[in-house]
Amino acid sequence: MIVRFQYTKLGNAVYIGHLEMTKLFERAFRRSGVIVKYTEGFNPTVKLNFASPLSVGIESEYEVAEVEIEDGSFEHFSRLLLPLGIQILDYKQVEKGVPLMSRLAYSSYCLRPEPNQAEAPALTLSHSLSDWISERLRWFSEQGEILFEKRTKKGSKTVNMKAFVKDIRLSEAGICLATLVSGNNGSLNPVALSGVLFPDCRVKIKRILLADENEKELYLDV
Amino acid sequence: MDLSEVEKPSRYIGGEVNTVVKENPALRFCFAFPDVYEVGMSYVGLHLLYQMINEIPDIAMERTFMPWVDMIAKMQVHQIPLFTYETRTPVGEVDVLGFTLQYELSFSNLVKMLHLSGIPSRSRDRGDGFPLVVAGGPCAINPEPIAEIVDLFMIGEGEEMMPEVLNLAKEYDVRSAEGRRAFLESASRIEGVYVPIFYVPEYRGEVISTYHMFDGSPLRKVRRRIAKGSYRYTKQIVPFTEIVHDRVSVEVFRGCTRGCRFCQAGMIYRPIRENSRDSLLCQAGALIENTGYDELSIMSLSSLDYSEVEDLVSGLLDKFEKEGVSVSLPSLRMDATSVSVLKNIQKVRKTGLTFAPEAGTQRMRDVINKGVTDEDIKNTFEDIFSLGWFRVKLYFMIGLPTEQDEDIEGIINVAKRALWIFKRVKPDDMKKSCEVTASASCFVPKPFTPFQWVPQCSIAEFERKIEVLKAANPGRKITLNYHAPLESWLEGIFARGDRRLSEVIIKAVEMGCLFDGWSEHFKFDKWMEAFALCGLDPKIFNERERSYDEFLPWDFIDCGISKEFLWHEYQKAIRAEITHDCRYGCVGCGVGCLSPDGYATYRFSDDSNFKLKNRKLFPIAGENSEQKNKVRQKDEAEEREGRGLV
Repeated sequence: MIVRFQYTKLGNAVYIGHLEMTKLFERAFRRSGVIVKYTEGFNPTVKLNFASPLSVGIESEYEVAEVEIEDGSFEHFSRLLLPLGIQILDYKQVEKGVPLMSRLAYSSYCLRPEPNQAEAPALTLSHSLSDWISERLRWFSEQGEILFEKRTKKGSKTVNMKAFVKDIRLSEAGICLATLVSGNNGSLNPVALSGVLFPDCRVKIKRILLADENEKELYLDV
Repeated sequence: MDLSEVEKPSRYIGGEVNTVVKENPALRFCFAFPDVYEVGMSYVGLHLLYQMINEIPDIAMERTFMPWVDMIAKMQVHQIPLFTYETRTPVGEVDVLGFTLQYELSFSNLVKMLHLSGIPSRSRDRGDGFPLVVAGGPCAINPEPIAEIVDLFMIGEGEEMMPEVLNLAKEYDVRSAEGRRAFLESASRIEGVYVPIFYVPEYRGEVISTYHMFDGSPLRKVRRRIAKGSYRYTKQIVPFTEIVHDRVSVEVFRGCTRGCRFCQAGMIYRPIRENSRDSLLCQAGALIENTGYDELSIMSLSSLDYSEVEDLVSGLLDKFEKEGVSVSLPSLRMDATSVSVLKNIQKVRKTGLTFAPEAGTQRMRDVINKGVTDEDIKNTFEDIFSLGWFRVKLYFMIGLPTEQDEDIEGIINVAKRALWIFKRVKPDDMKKSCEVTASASCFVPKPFTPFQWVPQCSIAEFERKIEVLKAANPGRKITLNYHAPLESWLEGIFARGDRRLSEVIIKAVEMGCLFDGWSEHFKFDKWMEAFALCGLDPKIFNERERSYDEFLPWDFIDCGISKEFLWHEYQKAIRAEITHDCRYGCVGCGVGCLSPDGYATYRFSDDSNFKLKNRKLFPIAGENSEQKNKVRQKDEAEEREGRGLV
């Protein structure tokens, strides 16, 4: 049986790395009585797949993963005990289908710059934070291309960042919302974007949505 | 402060499963491990004490660890003091700060942690508004090197002593100088408690001649505490990051009967006390259920000596096989029991096996009373290789008393034998070749062992011995590891040092020493500079031969083993005479584990009616002069991972 679940990663939980998350869920499953299936072979690993690894330091309100478990232990899912900040929002049984990682096409983030005077001299007292963000977004839209070094498995290559930005705008609440290309055909790390958009400024980043190529929430069925 | 800028940030956030947070406790106690989180969290005693003390309603036990160097730098930039993991309370603001002393080379980290908390290093400089600083653990058996830093030591097993000390501290304002002093006077009457300011050393020349009490009363000996009851922890805190021993552990027994003469743990954890198989199975089940770990290890100083070890291991395997939980044994002796237990867990992955023959020749092993023969070694190799193992790691020591170059060369001979035997007995379908690693560490003589009087090798002598070892292994078939002697030599100073070392340690930390156990941070030259500045010759502590009549800096502590017994063992060692395992007959060490009817009282007290009738222990006439001690009880206390043995 495959169970898909949606969860958060907020607060101090942002410092838990991706591999550590696998361990964390594996142990939580064992504690609650959810019996997880393992891969065959010499070094069995748990059949747990995440839609998209999240970099350390980034919060998320929308993470999706799938785990294969023994049929009888589904009811124990409700007993999962997880550390503060990691909360299961929903879970359901799904049919075996296209892996989450292959379905994923877009990740949406909100970027909240937290400048102080020393860090962002451009931001003077006459400016409000949202004015500054709009200014930076205008600058961004005016650029034909923004080249940056992207690290890949084979070293690094120069790519145009703008090709990875599906949508970027100022929200009503006055923060930056960005939908970035994400998935098997390459993805853009929001940290790289924020480095270009808000240079030398501390930026709080939170993932708010994962979606497929039709921009449909990844947790929903195809 | 953004933790993503430091290495492994999840080791600083706290909030792990099974942690306990208490608002406004009557007493906030911070347990401090003077090394990084991954090391500290691997110490089972932490988990035991954490659950036990947090069961006391109005006392909160919180944790802190030594931050790694990148984190220390960040904390200094942002002016963040050392904090507790449960409530982020600055460590300087807790009521009681307690360090565990697991190895001597963590003393500098202890002082650094005081600095990071804004607490003065010397106990005499701490006036109003500072925590009471206490310490315990195996290295507290010679507390003197840090006697001017720590207010109170708990010597021996903590299960009963620690709640007694903390409950008493609740009655005093221990954060004020006056309240602390009143508390210390009262606490010094608790068995096992040592308050260094009440003991004044007298020196004759360069060595201590005796101590007297601060008020002129006769010297009061501090008796190592042996707990009467046992405490079975059922939870361990589950870390986010991978730690050194990432598993749950159950203590199968405490103490050891082998009597290896180099081994301090084998002396200072006596008498031997076993947990029953049923209680261990029950505890193991609870631990797995409460943590979700997939690995369990059985722990003790020599697990295969457990009287029901085969039953226990098969019981554990039956219980956990379905759940995919694996069972591991930390260290193995080279004898028949090992192999028979290994056959049982053979189904489990064939990872490498680790053995500790400790010395390369029969004579040398007799000197240290290791009790493993050439025949045992041969049989063990034959058995494990024919069962399909191909990777062995062998632990040895160099610099042992009476050692000759042929004993060092013998280390390589043992490793070579593994290669030969492998070729002869390996299964027909074995495609792998044999991997043998021989590891040599530099011997450090420890207090309360028969070798407490012997000089440690000089650095030059250790280096020469390493060259002898390398020369004996010209090929590349055996991987040879050896520890740099500098760390062991410094460890030798702290192990048998006195309280004049407190100033040296404080000075060294001011000059930048920390993480001495981590070779990339170890600064030997700074240490030597600190000794020079304090006008102290380090060699008087480690390289000097002591006589039987000398008053040793730890002689005011009664660890239960008589000094006569230790000396007798030392003399036998020089003659390469062995002493048998005291399970098969009392050897008269003085700890007095015999019940009045002459049987070994062998179990933790909840199994108190149990006696091993088939193993009657006969006192040996003349050797057992300390029978008066026999009322001393047997029970449970601190855990100890077999250090360095996997």
